[in-house]
Amino acid sequence: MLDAQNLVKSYPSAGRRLEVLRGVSLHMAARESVALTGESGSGKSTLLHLLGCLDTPDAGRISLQDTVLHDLDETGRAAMRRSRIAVIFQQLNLIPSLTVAQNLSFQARLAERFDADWTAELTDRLGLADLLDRYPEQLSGGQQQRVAIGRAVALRPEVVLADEPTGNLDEATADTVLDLMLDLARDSGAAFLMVTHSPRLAARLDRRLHLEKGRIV
Amino acid sequence: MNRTAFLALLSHWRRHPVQLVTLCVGLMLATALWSGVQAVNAEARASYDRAAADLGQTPLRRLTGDGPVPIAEFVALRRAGWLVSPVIEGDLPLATDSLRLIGVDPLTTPPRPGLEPLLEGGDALPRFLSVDGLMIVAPETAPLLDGPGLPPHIQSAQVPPGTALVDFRLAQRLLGRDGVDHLLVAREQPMGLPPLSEVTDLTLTEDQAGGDLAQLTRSFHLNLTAFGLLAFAVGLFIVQSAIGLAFEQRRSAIRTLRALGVPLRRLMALLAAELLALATLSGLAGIALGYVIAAALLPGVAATLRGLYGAEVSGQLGFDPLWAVSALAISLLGAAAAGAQSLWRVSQMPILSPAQPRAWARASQRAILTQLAVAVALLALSGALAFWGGSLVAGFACLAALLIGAALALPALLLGLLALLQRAPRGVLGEWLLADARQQVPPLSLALMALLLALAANIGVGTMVGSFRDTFTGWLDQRLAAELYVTARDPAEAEDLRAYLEPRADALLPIWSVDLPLRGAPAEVFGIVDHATYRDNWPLLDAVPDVWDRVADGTGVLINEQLARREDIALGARLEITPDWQLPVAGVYSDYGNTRGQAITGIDALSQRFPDRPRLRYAVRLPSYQVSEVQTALRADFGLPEANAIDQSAVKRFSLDVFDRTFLVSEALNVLTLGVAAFAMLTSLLSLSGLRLPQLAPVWALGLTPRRLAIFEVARTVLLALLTCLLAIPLGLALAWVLLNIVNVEAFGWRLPMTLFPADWIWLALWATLAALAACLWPVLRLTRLPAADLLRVFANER
Repeated sequence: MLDAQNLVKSYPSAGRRLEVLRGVSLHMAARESVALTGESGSGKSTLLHLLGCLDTPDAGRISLQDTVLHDLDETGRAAMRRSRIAVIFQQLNLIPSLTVAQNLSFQARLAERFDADWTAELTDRLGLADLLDRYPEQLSGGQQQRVAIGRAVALRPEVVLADEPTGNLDEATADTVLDLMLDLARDSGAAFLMVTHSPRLAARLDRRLHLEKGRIV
Repeated sequence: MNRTAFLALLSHWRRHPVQLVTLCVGLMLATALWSGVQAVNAEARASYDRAAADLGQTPLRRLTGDGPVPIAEFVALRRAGWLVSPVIEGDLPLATDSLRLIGVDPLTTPPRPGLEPLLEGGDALPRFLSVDGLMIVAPETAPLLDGPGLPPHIQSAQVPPGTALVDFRLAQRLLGRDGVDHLLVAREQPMGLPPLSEVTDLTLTEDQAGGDLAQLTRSFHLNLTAFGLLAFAVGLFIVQSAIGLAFEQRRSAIRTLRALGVPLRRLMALLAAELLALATLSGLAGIALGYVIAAALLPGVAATLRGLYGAEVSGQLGFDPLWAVSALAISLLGAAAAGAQSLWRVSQMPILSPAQPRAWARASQRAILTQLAVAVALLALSGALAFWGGSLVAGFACLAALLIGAALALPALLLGLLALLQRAPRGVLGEWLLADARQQVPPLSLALMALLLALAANIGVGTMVGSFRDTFTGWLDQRLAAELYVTARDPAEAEDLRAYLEPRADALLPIWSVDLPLRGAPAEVFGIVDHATYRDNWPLLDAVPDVWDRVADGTGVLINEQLARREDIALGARLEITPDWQLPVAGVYSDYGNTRGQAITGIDALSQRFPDRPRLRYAVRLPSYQVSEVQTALRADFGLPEANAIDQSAVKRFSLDVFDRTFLVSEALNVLTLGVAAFAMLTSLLSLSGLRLPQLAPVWALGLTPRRLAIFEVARTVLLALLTCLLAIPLGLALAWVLLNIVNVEAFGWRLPMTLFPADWIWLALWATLAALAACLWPVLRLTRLPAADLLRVFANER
């Protein structure tokens, strides 16, 4: 389903290029959940950004089903983000000017795949029914993350990518949020890749990949 | 410690150079527009002082008669020992303009500015007194005098522009008049003189004219000052926006400095010193720019003052150090006012406050409601002043309350309008656009207020000038009903002209007048014949039923609107024209462009009381196809100068030209204010562009390209500008109403009907859109070129 081969990525840093990814390859099947772990600066977020069409590799190939991603221009990458790949970040996930209800349906409506019944079910399962008219700033961190998860799966994407989605949450809340993500990703048929520092959370996923100095070990 | 802490604070500007430029340019523009207007005002006042020091304005005593004062009277008084000196004044038409001639006798006149060259020895005095004569003029007048037929001239900066000092005999010859206008009477006279009444029948009057020009033009300069203040306020919006943002972004630095042991008071002093240094530099640059603006505006102001009041103002700008110092002081005060709120916030900030910059100026709903309550109170005050004010100062206070109140109400009104728009059906991106626009209202509110004020000033002043022009054009059509206006050079020629024109014209209407004080102020009284020209066309505002019969038989008088309003004279009230001649007011007519009082009665009644007034002017009614032919004949047969036989269309053209020049300065200031408002928007958008990333990055991550985001940014800015423009229309019309019905009435004495110009609003909306586009172009271009890494940094966990 999602396939990446020999991904290389470097950034300019203090007058020279810093190699963040040095030939990373991975494959994910539908409904599979994968944890991506590694120390700070190992390239976890960079890999997630490349897979999420948020950035482009210097070299290597990425494909989703039959679509080659690494060759896409900005418009093509934006279309992928809009309709096939959903990304959940640790913070600043939501659009501050929109209510919870508007945030929840935003991406699905953007992709013209809004399903009112599915969104209503998500609202119930995420426990957001009483918060629909609130704005992001009026929510707790856990509540905000639940809205971000709902928005991602409301789209019924093929891949859900999460970049330390529970990093700001306490253990109990983090467990609840992860349960929800896994359940909903499975129910929507999506592959799920999560970047995390927590071995405890990583152990709950189907598979674990460890990044070290830009390589999967 | 001071140096280290100060350098740490200053390092902010190195990282945010655009913010530094914004702050400095904002303050520079504010200072420049304010000080530019003040320089223009100061130059005009200096010109009035020079004019006041001249003959016509000196508070001397003078002897006048019912008509020209014969030279024999002068000779008789001198022989009796009285120190008197003759003066004759008049306008000499030139090819493109006219020259004010002041004829004096250099040997008997009291010392006066402009005649100094005659006292310096050399041949100036003999030439001045010679048959060929010599004119003394201001340097800026000299280029107008190169035509043939004029006496030679020398220059003196002490003579008001547009004026020439000549020997009174030469003035008589050039003006084609006998006698002189009056005799100046020196304050100090020899002892033992016979009483004046034994020597002459002339009337002794105290000259009250001193400072007339300054008095007349006070409202104009107040207007100009108000415009300068408006521009200054708009500039300060920029400054406050930049200072506020800088303080917010330095919250973490300020907290760290305090944590490291820099006392709060020291920190406040350093921040104030930084502001003082920046304000001084920007203020100095603003003064230089203000001087350039003043030099550019001054010719326009001079044209305005000449057109409105006949006041001559030098077109050359001097440099007054006092002006520069006061401009710098106002710049520093402005910076202090703009920075006070931020300094106060720093003083109140707990040492353990969150270091993350808050979305700056993001007012809470409660703050916006408080602002709205203040706005409502100010608008109520404005309304109260409009209806119960009754003075020019109250008029301007009404304007100020209206503008500040409306500006304060703007955020709440915009939020309301956007909420209304959100109710309409729309797509998901439309929904986001409107929600995002609502979120941007508080941080952009200062720039939007500046735009609102600039647009409202444009609509208000445009409506006033347009209404004035419409009314003035219609009024000219009524008032200038005659086809030809002829002025003879002397009474004999007047008789000849009359004899020539009578058989050729449908009607020959004398225009004879006497300068008299009415209710203590200088005024003119005209005598007219009974004719359909007046009955059918004269622009009466109010009249008794048989007004023209009463005027014709000399049992009633018409007065102009200015006199009626100033002296509160109602129909039927008795007006004293001379101590033994009082007439009931039979009608009031509009008389735009004239600041003096005016009265009209039957010509027989006037002639009977003033039999010796020269009767030189006639309005000639004749078929329009004959006008050119008669004009040509008058020039050929009588040698009448072009200016002495003017057709109706030429007078109208001239009047409208004067009118248009009169409002050139207002238009220039309008454009400048709109420019400053556009700059305020640019600086706000630039300042906010860094804070926008966290708001835009999630939408980008959800699949919108930077290009589409940029389009939405433009749409949002234009939407806010257009909504502001929409709100500026009623505000501008309210402003025009106050200008037309309160300020004009108090300042000039006439009330004008208000005309609406919707086409202008569409143009202004277009300009507002262009200003908004220009303002958001740079921030939006930056957005489209933003690397993905910058957007991703927003989500980075390991920042």
